[in-house]
Amino acid sequence: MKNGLWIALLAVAGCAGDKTPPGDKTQVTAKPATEKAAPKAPEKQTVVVYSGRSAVLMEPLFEQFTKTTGIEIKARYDKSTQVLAERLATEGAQTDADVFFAQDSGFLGALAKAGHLRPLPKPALDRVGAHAKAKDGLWLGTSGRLRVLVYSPDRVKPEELPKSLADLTDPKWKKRLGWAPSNGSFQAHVSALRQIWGDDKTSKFLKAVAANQPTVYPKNSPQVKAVSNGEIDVGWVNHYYLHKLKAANPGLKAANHSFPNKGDAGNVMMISGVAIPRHAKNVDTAEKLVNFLVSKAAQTYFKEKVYEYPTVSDVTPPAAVSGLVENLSPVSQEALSDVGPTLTMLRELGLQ
Amino acid sequence: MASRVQRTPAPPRAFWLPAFLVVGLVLLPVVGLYLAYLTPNPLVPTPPLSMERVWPLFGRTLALSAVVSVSTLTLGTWLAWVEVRTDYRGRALFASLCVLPLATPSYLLAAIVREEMAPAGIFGRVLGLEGQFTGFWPAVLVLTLSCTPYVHLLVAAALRRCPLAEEEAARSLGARGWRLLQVVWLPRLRPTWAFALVLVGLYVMSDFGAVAVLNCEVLTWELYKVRGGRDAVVLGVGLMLAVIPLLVGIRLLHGRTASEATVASPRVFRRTPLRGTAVIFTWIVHCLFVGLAVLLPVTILVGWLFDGLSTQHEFAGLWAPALDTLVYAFVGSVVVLAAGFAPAWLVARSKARGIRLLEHGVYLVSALPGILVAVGIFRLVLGLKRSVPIQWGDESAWTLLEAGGIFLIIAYVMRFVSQAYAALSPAIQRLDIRQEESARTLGARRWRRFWSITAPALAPGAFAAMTLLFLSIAKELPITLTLLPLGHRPLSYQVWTAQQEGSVPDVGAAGLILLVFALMLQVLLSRWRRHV
Repeated sequence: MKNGLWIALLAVAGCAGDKTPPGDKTQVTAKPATEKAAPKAPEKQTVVVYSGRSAVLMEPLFEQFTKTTGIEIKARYDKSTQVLAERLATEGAQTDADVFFAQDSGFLGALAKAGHLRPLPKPALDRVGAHAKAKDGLWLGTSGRLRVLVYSPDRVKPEELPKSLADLTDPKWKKRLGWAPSNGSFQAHVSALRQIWGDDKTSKFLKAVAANQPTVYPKNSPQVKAVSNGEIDVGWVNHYYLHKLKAANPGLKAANHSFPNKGDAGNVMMISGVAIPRHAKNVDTAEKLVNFLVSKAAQTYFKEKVYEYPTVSDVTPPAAVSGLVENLSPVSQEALSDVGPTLTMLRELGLQ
Repeated sequence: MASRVQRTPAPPRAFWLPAFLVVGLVLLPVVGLYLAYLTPNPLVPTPPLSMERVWPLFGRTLALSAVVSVSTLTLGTWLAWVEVRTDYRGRALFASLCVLPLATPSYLLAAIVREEMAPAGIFGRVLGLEGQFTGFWPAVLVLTLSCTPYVHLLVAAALRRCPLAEEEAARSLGARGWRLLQVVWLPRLRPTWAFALVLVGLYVMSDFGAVAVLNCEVLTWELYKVRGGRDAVVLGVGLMLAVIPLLVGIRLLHGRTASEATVASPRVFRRTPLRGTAVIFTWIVHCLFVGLAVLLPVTILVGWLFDGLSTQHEFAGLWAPALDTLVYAFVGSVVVLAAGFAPAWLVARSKARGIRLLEHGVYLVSALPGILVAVGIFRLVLGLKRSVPIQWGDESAWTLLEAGGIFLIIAYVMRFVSQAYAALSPAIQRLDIRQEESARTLGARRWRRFWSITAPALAPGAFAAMTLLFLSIAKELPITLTLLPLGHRPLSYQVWTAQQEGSVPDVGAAGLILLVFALMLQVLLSRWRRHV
């Protein structure tokens, strides 16, 4: 019965697709028998992407990929990489995802650990530096973002800015801060802090910042806007949102600040990355997309349009933000993928 | 009357199955949450939400419902009173304008309020505000503006139904002012007020968009945030338990308010003319209400659009979202209307014992909060993919159904079938059975009778219902956000993502199209209500 229904529906769809008027069948039969049938148009290739990165950032790049390869991208966007990763894990073999694009490496690591990913194509892995890929080749970084503070130059004097991330616990920041504890970048940064400081110190730090009653935002970009429109004085974000929003609105009243102390725990590079699920249906097209994302064209897009750091050696970092990397804290991306204990800590602190 | 009841033809047996299927939809979110509960270890195991986190969510949800119910009751009753019982210049115009806020999506109003009440916003600067304008009280403001028209319409209808004879009798016995209110108006208005309180309470408890934009931590917003994990089960069940008393209240009180209609007085009230400061005060309140809920949003959205144009902002595409809105709202409204037909016909025509339970079932399905329906079906789809894997060629059959928008449309049916039922039911009850009998005696078969007699008689009501459904689906947010098929992005989704990204010009462009479109439909509906 079920098959019958499907067949009936398909038959109707087939009839609907037949544009020849009922009384005009002679035109078909009148064709010379010798005329060769037109070559069958190749089936349109598609690739389904589960993207934790927003449509605003990714669609121009995806359009470029479609233009270059003819492969259509169907994207499921969700600002919560966690929801997308859990969805992928639950769907298992029934997933329609061919590529998983994560905002940060945390859930890439979690998916890899749970056996939901397949190895990436070697050419793509070879193009990316060792700092920006998993050792087992199950995921790779497509761009890097720095954790910074965004602040209002009108309301915060340069000498007042914190020298270290730990200074955010100072009571002078009470009700002046913003943060986004449910955001992937924030969670990855907490994973980094756990590696640098250890769990105990990280937990105490978060508790102390929470005591300053920071305003909670769902993600980073609203914090930059909030600084500009006076809601908060300082936000804890990724560096590129400011540049992107300033490009759209030069009047934006906000600036980035990275901590002057060399190797400070606040100066962390986060990797946005990509993987192919184990049960991907269109592995060929998925691999083409992964190769494209680390190509010079795509890396230049990340640099010029999104103001992020390339993960390949033949594209230089954007000039506007090149100074920010000098004091980076040495944290391995593998450590940032240890997201489970981080989420537990945030939950126990009541931040999630 | 008795002979007419005897003549009522029995409804076709084939209607029972679709009617029960519609009512049975209520089980889908329950099954979805149950499957979520059965899901083995999540990807990243975390401790469950502690009750110390859950209770404040409950408390805040109930408090928000209570405060908004009281504020809308006060404002809505006052607006209804001045519309029905007083006379002043501009009364008819203001009465029409006061219904228009129904067209403004609460999430759009919230986005505007949040942006312009920020310290650098228009009102933030004027009022010298500091910090962000989010949380409980901003949510109260937005939801009061959104819900007041419901109370206004209900109380105005109740006031019109109040028998003039009772008032005249009380006056002749010397009752004036407070005493008149106590002995005549309060007893008549009390059931309507109770119904309005519960209705607004349920609306507020179900609201997702405004509380999400204003970051007010209540059950619906938290449920959306944890929709992928195990915590969705706790919050989903919690939300279900929270709304059940309100649903029961609504059904009980609805019967009571409806019975008031039987004592309607055909005589027209004498309106009290307003003069001097009373008129000015009335104008100010009306202007503030309509201005804040309708005119200001339109003006501000235009401003945001022009800001974007002046800074050469790269706007997100609008054609595809507008087309998606039209397609989903059209298909959705047709399917929802069709889904409401069988239950409405059965309740009107069947003499089966307990047939009213079917009506209660239809209202129960639609009373579930949109976010609960959305998350429940989302988890149902995931659960089916995991537990009942069915392949159709290379693809999962569930994925195909998902990609075809089937689950989205089912969720729309759940959310809005009561609107279709409420519009179709009186139209079916008004059908003249004698015409059908005449056609039958002349040999017309069932379908012929339906298309020549029943369908034309139902058409005006059905068309108005479809317009209302179209408007509701076009504005709908939580279901659309959660269950939208890959590659589609209607205007409501566009407004939401642009707001979350902080892209004000994109909120302006998509929001303006959505709002103007909704206002046009609302005006049409208001006109039809007077004629249909």
